[in-house]
Amino acid sequence: MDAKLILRGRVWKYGDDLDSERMAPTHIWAHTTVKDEDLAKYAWIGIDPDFHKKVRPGDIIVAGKNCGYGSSRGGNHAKTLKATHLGGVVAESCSRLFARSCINVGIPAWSCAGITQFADEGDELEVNLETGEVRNLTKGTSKQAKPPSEISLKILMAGGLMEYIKSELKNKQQSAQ
Amino acid sequence: MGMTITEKILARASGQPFVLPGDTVETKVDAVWVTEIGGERLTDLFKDFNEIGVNRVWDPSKVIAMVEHSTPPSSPQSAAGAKGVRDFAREQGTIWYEMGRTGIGHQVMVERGHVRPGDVVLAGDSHTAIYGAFGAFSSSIGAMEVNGVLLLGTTWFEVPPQIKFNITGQVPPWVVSKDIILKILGDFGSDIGTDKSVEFAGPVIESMSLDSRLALCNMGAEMGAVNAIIAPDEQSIAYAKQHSNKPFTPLYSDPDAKYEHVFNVDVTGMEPQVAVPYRPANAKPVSEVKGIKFDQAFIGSCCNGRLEDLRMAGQILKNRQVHPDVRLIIIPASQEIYKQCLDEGLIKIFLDANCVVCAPSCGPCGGLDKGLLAAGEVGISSANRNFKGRQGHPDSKSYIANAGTVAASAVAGAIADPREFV
Repeated sequence: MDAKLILRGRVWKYGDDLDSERMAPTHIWAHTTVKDEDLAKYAWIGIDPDFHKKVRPGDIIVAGKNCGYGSSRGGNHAKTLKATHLGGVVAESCSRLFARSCINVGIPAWSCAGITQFADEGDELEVNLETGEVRNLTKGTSKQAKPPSEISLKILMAGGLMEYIKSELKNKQQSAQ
Repeated sequence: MGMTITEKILARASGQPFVLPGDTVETKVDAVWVTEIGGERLTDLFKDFNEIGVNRVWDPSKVIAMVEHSTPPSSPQSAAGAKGVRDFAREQGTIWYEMGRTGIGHQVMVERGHVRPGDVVLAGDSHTAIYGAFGAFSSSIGAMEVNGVLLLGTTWFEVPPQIKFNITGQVPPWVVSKDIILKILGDFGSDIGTDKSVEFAGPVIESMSLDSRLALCNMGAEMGAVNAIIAPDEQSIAYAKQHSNKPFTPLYSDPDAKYEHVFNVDVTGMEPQVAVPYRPANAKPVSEVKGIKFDQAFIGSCCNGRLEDLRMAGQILKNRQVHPDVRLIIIPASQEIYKQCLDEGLIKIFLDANCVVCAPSCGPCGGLDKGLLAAGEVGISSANRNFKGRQGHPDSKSYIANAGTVAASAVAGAIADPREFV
């Protein structure tokens, strides 16, 4: 199985209703120029300004309900998280727009009811994106969630939406020949 | 088994005879719009695709480019974005609206006839649910997905579970769709529509103006809805025919369409509502928040900057003055609306009342454009969202209400009940 279908990382836990404005505040994005190499510094900044210092590649954000609700933020909330090499976001419920923005940059983000009861900050989680099984390696428990949709997985496996589209366009060109 | 309007539109746009919630569909897109936000990157879009020989958008007649959130640009960044989207439109031959011919993108889409019942209309703006007012499927997508649509002309959706709000009762004076939706958000929570399709129906909706329907569906975003939708009727069909020369076939929910939940909301006796910081769902009747002080009032936005809203404001502001302790900024949502306000004498009323009247754009809403709040300042506005820092500095806060309540509050110098002004 493709290694990317299994996520494994430490949990950073946050509450309900994390809105898009706090994830990517307007005063940063509209009124300053953020350089690509600084993207990680702005990840999750209005929620946890130290997030970029704490997070390690592969770590997983566990959040409450309505995670990422609000505006599309030009995808900056997702891009900054990507820059930290975050493994994924699992929330009680995830705003569709936020989840799609994450998936489009190659970060799995999806809803899993009961996840906040199941995982505490610092726990080690292993997530199988194909089956939807979430294992808490610290507590030795496991939980079944609805896996991300097939199309989301295809985009994730391609490494993001633009790569996925490129391969789709190539396939179209080849089948037309 | 029957389907809802949303299911029918998604089925038709994806070439399926039938769809069910949970199905993933690849839908054709009838219109997508791009703006100066991220505009400087639009012309770069095709660089990555040169290697496979793709250098045009899929259909320039379905791509609407405009300068709209921030007009005229208020910073070098937004000027660069405006230049970017302008260059992109010229290079690709898309439909293009320069400032002076625009306003807020959502209003321009409607006025210029780019929205028809039964269409699929998308944009990288979270309030794109708005076109459901015409019985179109409209949904917000991420900036990157807009690029995907520009290349492919399609995108994917998971058919959402369907919920319906059946709105009945006698609409009290000075209660408009904004109050109804704030009350719904307050009663049911801001995640009531998360990942769902929300249909608004019932006698109150049937007799509701198009301006109010647009505001209602616009606020679908605040419920987390994939889309909000109202069945097309004589009113919306006539408007679409008048503004668009492309044919369309409206779709309607079947009588046996399946809804996950149907909620009944009776508006009889409802008060104008005010949402207190920092969520639209923090709705309270105006009588409970009367007298709260603020620094700035704003009437405008893609939610409540239309003629109906400005007429409400005009009724309050006629022969009155904005209280000297506060300021009131009024921004008509489009050039067309601005002209109508002039014709009706509203602009004169606003100026005589000492309001600031600005060129059509988003203004303080979104914190991008103009009229922003300083740290520690408090605003009240007719906009759709009052998240922390939404209208300026991260340490500013805002209340949201209908345009009449905002105007009355500006005159009083503190949150006030518009019903006491007429």
